[in-house]
Amino acid sequence: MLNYLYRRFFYMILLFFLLSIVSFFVIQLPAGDFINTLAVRYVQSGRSVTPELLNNLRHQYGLDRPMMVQYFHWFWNFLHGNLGWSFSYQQPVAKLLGDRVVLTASITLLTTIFVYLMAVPIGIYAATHQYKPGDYFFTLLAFIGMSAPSFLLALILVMIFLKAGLGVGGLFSPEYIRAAWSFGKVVDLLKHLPLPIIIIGVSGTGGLTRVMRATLLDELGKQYVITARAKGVSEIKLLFKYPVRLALNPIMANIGGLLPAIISGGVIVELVLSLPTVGPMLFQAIINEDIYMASSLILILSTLGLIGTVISDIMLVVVDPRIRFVSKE
Amino acid sequence: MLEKNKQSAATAEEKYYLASQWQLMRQKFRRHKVANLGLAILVVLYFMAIFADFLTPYTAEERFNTFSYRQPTPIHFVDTQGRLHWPFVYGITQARDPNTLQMIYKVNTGVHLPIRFFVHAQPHKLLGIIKTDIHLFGVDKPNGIFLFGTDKLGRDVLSRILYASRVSLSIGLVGVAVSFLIGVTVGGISGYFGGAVDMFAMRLIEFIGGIPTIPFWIALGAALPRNWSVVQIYFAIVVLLSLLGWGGLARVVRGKLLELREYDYVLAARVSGVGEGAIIRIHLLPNFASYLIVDITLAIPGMILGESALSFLGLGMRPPAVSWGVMLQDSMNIHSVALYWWMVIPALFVIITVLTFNFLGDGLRDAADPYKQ
Amino acid sequence: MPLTPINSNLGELSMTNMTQSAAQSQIPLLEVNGLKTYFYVTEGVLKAVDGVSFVINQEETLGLIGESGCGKSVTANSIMRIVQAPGKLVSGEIQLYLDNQTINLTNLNASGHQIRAIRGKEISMIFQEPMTSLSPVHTIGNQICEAIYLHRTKDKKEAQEIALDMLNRVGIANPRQRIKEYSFQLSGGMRQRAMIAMALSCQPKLLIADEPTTALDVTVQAQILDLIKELQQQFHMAVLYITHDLGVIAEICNRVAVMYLGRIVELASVRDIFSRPQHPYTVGLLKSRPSVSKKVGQRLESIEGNVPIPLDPRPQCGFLERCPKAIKDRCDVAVPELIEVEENHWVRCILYEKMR
Repeated sequence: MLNYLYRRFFYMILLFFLLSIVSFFVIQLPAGDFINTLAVRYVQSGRSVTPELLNNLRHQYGLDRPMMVQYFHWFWNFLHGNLGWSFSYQQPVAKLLGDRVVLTASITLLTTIFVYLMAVPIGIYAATHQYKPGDYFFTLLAFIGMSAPSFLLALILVMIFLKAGLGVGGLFSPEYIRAAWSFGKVVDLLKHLPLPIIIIGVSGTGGLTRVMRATLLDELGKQYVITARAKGVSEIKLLFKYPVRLALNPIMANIGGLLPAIISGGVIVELVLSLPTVGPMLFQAIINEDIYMASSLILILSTLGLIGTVISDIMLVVVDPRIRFVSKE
Repeated sequence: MLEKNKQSAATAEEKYYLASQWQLMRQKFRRHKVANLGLAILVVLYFMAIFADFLTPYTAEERFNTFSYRQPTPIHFVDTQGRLHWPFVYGITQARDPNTLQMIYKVNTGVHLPIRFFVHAQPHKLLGIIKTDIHLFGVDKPNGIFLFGTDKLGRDVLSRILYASRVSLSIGLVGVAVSFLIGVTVGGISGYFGGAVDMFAMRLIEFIGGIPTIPFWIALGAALPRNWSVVQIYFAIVVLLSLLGWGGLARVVRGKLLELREYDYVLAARVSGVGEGAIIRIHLLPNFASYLIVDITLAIPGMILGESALSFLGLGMRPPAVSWGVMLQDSMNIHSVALYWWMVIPALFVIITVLTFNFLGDGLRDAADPYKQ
Repeated sequence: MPLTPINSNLGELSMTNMTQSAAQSQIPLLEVNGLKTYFYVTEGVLKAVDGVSFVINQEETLGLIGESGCGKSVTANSIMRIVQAPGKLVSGEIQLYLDNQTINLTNLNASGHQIRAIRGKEISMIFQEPMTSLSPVHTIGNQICEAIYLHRTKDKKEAQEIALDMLNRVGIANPRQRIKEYSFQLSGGMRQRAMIAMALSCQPKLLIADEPTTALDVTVQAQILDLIKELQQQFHMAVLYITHDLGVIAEICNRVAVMYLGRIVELASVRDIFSRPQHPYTVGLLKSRPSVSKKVGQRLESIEGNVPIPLDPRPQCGFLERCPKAIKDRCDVAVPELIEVEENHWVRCILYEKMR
């Protein structure tokens, strides 16, 4: 089993490299570069622009070097914690990020837990009460959850919260925004988290509920359930010890698919709600053609997703003895 | 053996044994009421998209400068005195609120506008061929009938929604078609040849699957040059959306092929001398064709939601093109939603479309499962 | 039609079987009376078991033979009360005669604690496919001890000892090692032995074996059959052995019930069935066995036609469509009754009606 994990780990490193390449070059695609945008701005504000000035700026920012060289510089710096220089803010990206990565990671993690906590019990209920009103109700809810665009949900929920008089928007109350981390700040954060978590998690919950229901229905019909029943095990005990346990295998192992979806959905919701996380910052960076910042941020987000794949693999080995033993050989 | 009974053998049994795979699927599908409802709704939606020119009173661009942000005009059958009439709408008077300087619209029950059917309005080409200028309904000029209200520029929201559905509904289909092509090719090659090819393909799919889609869609969307035509942007978005989405289909195709390669009936066919190509065509493909249909149907909502999200952020379809996502861009802020609630109606269409595709896919999946009762 | 317990005839019995048979009491253990289990599906009513009656005596082996789809498994499931929707035990009685009480299994709540106290303890069941019948993510020990915890003792050590002892008895070498293993680490034969160990861990009075050797190689099959016979002696158990294989019946059963389309069509001792089969179906079954003594070039015999699906069946003899001896206006008007044609030999056929 350890062998298996070593191999996967090594493979993850490889994927990380690949991701960095993809991240960098995707950002390069927009036709113009930052200098052009800057030039336009200069002209609009009345400053004079000459080709030499532009070329100097290009050289200063390293934009006149060949693509590959730029990539290596950027990636090398990234590995050392230097996430590049932001053109629009004229500051190191790492400094600008501040708490954003931690906050993004927290939201992602908590949303994932939320999704599992909601989807698994509802899925079990729906499967065991198949075709009864409860099943139809939850199925409908799950479908609506899967179908509504997240930005719409964000808007609607914000509207509801506003009308209800609850303070909304952002992750912190005004007094804590600039404050240093303290217990009080954490509590404040926790008070603001439910809204974005629910909005981001709705779609994932819907999908996972359906999968849980389907997987469990599959398992419920299998022979080992009958064997256990024939031994005299009670229905509830046998439900959880056998089919649920087995249905959870693929569900748990599929975190690798869920995490990127949560990160993805999170970006839009964070944009709409203007949360101080990585997503909105990435959006701005892309719009402003702030390439190093955009590349770094997109790599960070993708890596968070990659971590999901790693966890998936570990989970798969932990929950399924078949993998453990087969891979020993 | 009694001849009489032999001939009148249980015909229900015979019918069951002799029904083809597709007939069985259709029978099972009919029982799934929700899926059938979903199918009906989708047919209506696509019909409306195709015949939008005829069905709508105005075009997507017709502006009524005096009617900016006008609320929806409901249809009435009974007037203020309780008398039955031909369906009509009331006129509207407008005044500017002296405090907020906003236009206030008040229903004017004095102005009685019967709805006329088959009116003459903007000329258009039905189905792109038949020239005509007849629209389904309208009211006498210079008044307007705005069942879903108007937007900031005074454009009829209902008309825009129907025209927008052309983009939003078709992108789902085209996008999935592209994904399907890529996915089936990769999955087919991977599943059939196995070995190193398979390993590589699976790793690739795994890699792509681990990438959060929206950040990359945003990056790619921003990369679309501003000066591209609507058609170019349309196809660029299609490619963009399918680029990250074909993995699922490829995995299904590959999985099924691997599974089926081992099945005894494939071995039997091979032993009987049937060629590889024929094996794929006759034995393997029909077997998972039903799964493919299900997966395709379920992939469409993802595309529609993706396009809506991108356009909403300003990185997808852009004016003068109109899609539901583009229409929602106007309502991005909370103010708009509170004041001009009808601007969110396109979102309702998105939800209904996605929902019905999901129901349809679910129904198809149940129908395709040969072991389900 | 209710059956009365038969008086013992020990002299004849001891030489009857090709297998050994310890002193069997003719004391009834389980009595099934008019059992009907129907499945309500969208196409109609599937009458899987349509009026089945038989008695299993203590320590005897009753074989239940029939082709796929005749209702044998459903009968077994009905006894254990594990039939799931859309199946329903519609009518009938199943009396279980224990030392100090008689329980009517049909009256019990299918998920209640009474029937659960009986499952695994008084009546145990083993199944055809050992790979799918065992959970792949729990160890063998865990699954065997589960039954022990439920019915015998809650003490971990004691349960462990019992489990190890059972593994020994079923002939699994190195039980201390095996008990910690998973089902996929065992061979097919070993898995089935483990299943048997699990089923017998609480020493039930009746073991229902639903085609346990069908999925195994012939040599392993022989071993398992021997094992079952041996354990039956050790534990003084009765066995209801379900199979479609006549050879197995010959090997270990005392009496046989032949099932067709949800009904028992012939019920007799093994000897009588093989030497004097009465029902046309039984006759056909016996004739269709390939035989070493047949001449080269002779065709194999078979019963014409296919087993029909008992969906909304007409009130007539189930074997009508395929019976070479069917009589118009006699066989198609009503279901024939079960008639005793000789001592302890019952046949359900219109041909024997005059014997009444």
